[in-house]
Amino acid sequence: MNNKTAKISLTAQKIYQKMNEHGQALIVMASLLVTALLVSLCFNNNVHTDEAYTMSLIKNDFRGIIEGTAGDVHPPLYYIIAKIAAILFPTQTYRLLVQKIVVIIPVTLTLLRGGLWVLKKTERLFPGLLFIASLSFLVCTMEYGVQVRMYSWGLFFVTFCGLEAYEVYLTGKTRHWICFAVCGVGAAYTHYFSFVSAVIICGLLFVAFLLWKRKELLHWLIAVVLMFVAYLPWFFVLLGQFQAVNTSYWIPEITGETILTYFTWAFGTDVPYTTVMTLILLVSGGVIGLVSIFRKRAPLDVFSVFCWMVPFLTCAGGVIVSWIFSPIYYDRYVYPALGLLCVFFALSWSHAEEWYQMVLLLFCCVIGVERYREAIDLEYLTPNTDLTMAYLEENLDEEDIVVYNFSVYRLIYEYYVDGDQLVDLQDVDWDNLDGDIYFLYTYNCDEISQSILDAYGLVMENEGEMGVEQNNFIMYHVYKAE
Amino acid sequence: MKKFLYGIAGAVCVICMILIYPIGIIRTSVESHNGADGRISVGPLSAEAYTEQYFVPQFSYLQKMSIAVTYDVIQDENAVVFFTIKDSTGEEVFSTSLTASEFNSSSFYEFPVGISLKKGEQYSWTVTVESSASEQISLLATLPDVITPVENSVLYYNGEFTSSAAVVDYVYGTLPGKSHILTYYSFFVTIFLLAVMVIRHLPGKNSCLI
Repeated sequence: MNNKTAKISLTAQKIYQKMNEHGQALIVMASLLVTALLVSLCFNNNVHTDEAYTMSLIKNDFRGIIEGTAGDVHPPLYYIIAKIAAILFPTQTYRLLVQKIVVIIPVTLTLLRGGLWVLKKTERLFPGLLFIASLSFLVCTMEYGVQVRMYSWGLFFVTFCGLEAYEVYLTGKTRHWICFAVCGVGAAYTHYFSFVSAVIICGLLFVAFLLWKRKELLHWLIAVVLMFVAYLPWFFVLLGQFQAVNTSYWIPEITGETILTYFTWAFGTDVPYTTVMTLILLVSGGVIGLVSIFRKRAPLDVFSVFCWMVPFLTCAGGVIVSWIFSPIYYDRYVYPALGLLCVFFALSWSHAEEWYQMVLLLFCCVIGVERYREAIDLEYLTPNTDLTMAYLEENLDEEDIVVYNFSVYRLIYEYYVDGDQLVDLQDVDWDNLDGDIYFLYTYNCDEISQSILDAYGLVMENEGEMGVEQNNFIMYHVYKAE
Repeated sequence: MKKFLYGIAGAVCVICMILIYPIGIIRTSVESHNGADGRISVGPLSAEAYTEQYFVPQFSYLQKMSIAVTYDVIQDENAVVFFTIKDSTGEEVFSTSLTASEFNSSSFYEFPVGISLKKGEQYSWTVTVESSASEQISLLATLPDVITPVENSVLYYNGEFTSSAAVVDYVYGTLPGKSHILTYYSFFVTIFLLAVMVIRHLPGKNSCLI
């Protein structure tokens, strides 16, 4: 190494040391920066089907919410949180914004907790930043972190539960046991596959105690019994919902192709092969982590493998149950467990040299730029919601109707257009048309046939491409010929 | 030895980068179709009666294209569909034939084209059908004087001018954009540097990566 290179290397080390000294502040700043990015995606009026369901459900009182969610397929905690937020901030104009903030808060807390935890355990800054960057950019947080649904809360509970499990194993302190149990129950009350993840965490903790700390098994048993008791009020509802789902549910049959989509859903972007790239980095990190386990047998390395097992077993469990009974597992159900996958990613790569951790960080940021661009497209540009709303506001009269051909989007259309004016193409009463029709034509769905237009003397004019949320359509104005 | 390995890793990295851009082995699909504009049928198609649609490609690589068809009652599964693309001088640049049963959809016949065209120049595609059954296949086209999508210009049936355009879905493959190239390049550099880190720690002077 010549003098110049040695000097550069020394300067780099000094800078890194300086950064390490301010590690906590930098982690907080990075978490807040990601939060700012998420908040910047909220200033729109786009909702998709499930978000429309949330907005509709929280119009009920608490009893109505619990009954409503018991009649559906989800546990109630998220909807109760959303309702509390709606009560605390009673605004009609910004009601969607309030709900988006409600789902961003747990993401921020997860980033902060995870980042600071990894920093503390590895005593190095870059692994902490790698956790934040991987959770923000390598997985689909830019989309699910602003979706008015329960997934970000699931992420919060499962990640916290996992990290507390490690603290419980290491220290056995009562406060960690309490946090572990509360987060586990919280996860179970948020989403059923968060529940599965929490059960897997309990199982892995059991394995760890059984192998290395058998005296703690009694504490483990007490905690698990208490968690089950806390969940008991909802347990019977769960059984009823499982029965209903078992007989009929919308989830398609699980095939090899479906399993592949689990990966593309979690890691894919519009850039082809992003999933492959991310998987290569995850596997490489895993190999380095395994080498470390064989060399040092440090509890933290074993924990990182357990972190990887939580999403893997959640997914595998869902697939196996789907195969045995009927399809109940869908790609996004693993999202709450992805926080622990990112802990695995950060801990595994913490064994690599610092300069390479920085390279990885930069790569995550490059993917992040693409993800953020796509999220902006999704929330602001692609849907043309404003254009659609402006068009309908200007043209839609009381006697007119809005006809759609994409039935699953009815709930979303209802968020924007009065339900009485919304008609499925199959249900249009062609003999009794009072006004004009505004036809939202989604490509590859049914059309208004020329024979109908001819029979009723109608003219159909193409008004251009419009859309709401992720549904683009061509707006046609259909009216009686003079 | 290590220098040699560095060289190999570097060369692989550079080759991968060149394959992405400018060669473009990974392309992004862009579609252009007619939407839901009213439709009429043009046909029937046979070995003698053909349709010829003139079009101007909007991108320089046509991955595939689908044409909308209709037929009497049921489709003749054994009908052979001949599809040809010619350039403005009449020279054939692409040709294929498929039996009706080979198409995934019975209402959209998809042809895997995969050829480079000159963006902005005029081409034409022709469809003819050979069928021994009485079922007749026709091409679906837009209503008279409605010419969509932007690629389509005039449509001829059996050499006669029609004022419609074929109902068609052009699927182009475009070279990756700047942000895509940046993602691929940074990935290759990341993997190259991973290789560098591993090679540095191969048994020899420094033996431990971790």
